[in-house]
Amino acid sequence: MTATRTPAARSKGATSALRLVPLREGMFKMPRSMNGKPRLLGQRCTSCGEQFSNQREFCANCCQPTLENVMFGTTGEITTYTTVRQQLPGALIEAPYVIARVRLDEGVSVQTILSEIEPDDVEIGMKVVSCLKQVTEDDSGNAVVNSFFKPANKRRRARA
Amino acid sequence: MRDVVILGCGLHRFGRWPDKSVQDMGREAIAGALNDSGVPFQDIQVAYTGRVLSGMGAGLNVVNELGQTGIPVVNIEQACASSSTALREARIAVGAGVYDVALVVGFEKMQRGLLQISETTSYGTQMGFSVMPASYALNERRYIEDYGATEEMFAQVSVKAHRNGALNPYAQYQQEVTLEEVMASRYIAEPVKLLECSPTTDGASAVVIVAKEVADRYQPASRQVNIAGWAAGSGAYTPTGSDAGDGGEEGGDELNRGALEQLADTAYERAGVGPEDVDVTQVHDAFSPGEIFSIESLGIARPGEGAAAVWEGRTEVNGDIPVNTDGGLLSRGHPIGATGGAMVTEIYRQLTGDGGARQVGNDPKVGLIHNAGIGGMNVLVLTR
Repeated sequence: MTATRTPAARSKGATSALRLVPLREGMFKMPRSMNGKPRLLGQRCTSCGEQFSNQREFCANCCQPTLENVMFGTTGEITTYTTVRQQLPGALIEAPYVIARVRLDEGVSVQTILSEIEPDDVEIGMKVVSCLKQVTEDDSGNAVVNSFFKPANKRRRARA
Repeated sequence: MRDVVILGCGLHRFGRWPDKSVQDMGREAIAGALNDSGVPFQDIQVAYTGRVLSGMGAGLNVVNELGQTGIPVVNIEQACASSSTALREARIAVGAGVYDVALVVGFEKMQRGLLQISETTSYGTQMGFSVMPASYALNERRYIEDYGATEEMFAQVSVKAHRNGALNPYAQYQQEVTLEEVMASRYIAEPVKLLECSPTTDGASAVVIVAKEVADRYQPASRQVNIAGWAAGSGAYTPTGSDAGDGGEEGGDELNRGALEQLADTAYERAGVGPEDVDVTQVHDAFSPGEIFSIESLGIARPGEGAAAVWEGRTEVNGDIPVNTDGGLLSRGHPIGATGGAMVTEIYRQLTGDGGARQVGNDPKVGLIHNAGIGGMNVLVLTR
């Protein structure tokens, strides 16, 4: 996370200069607004075809330095999940929260936090879509955000 | 490589010992192992020490408590698998003929609460991912979905562990718990509950190993347990879509079941035995799902049948595949650097008939150990 400490940004009335700052660079393509869907950034190995949801120099599967950047879509399916009920010291996310393993439509699995759903309503096999959530704010008052996932089907939430 | 045998073991009782240093606990464990083995400290030619949280060069401070003989003291950190790694390294060095007599020591003093497995400023911590029981919980939920198991079956691991721990004078918790108590304990990471989590623990373990060809100087054959098989690994990458799982890219995942199957095969092959020959087993039940997943990967229960095996009592002391007869990590406690040595100690006791009230029947001859940590896991096969 990078904090810009310019006088303009710190002074009152500079709110128009506030922007969305990613919790960690290189994880997703920043949408234009908080309501946009972040697309996760990953890599594909041109030697073996394996895809990764994180950034490396050498392919974990075939060990070649032949990774190219790819951008994944915004939808996937929950393969398993857990509700964490004990607060982890240092975490910006407050317990209880749901960690889910999501298999993106491209076949890559990512670990994520679920948003906009009660823990008891989560199910294996549920379709989810990426969303942006603020996790903290930096020294300049910018929103520090990360990609989360939420249910793709709103009707299901209403019924639950 | 030469045959290498265990001649004796020692423990400092696991628990919370705020007034004791790692030197105090390590000294007691080493003295116990020396006494048990009949090997005088002056005969020890090298020491391998496993510990995680004690700072630079802590192994020497502990070993020197017994006398300053100037031997090499190797400090090994491999998270929860530190002292099984120390034993493996010692076994290889003695097997290679570099030394005849080696000491393996594990010790730890821990803070209460969730184990901090990554830096507080790391992405995994900030996002709340770096929660050890969460990785077990994710896998338990998937297992229940795939095999129709129940939370009660997983809770039964803890009931069984505490029943055994109540019979072990070195265990942190020497008190039985009921299934109802486990099920009623609060969720830490659903469906893993508080009484399904190993505690944080202070304690120490020590093991004396020697080349088989010098063992008769110290102990009769009935007190010699062969380190017949061993295998270590860190888990190869599992490609997307493979049966072995999703690779666990985020954070440390000590539940690489495909890797454990391969290590078990290697260890069995070295020892010249198969899973059907195993009489008593120690597995890494840092959280209750650990026992169920491990016994399947080790081949002593069929895939998908581990939970039922526990539920039906097969892993009890008097079951056909007894597991964690000393209470396991859940009840004996888990002072991370000392745990592997405690696993070895229990198998040594069982194979030499010193299991006391928790002795398994039928004159056990083959013991199996699985100790896992972030950064690597070990499988050991001990035989008599």
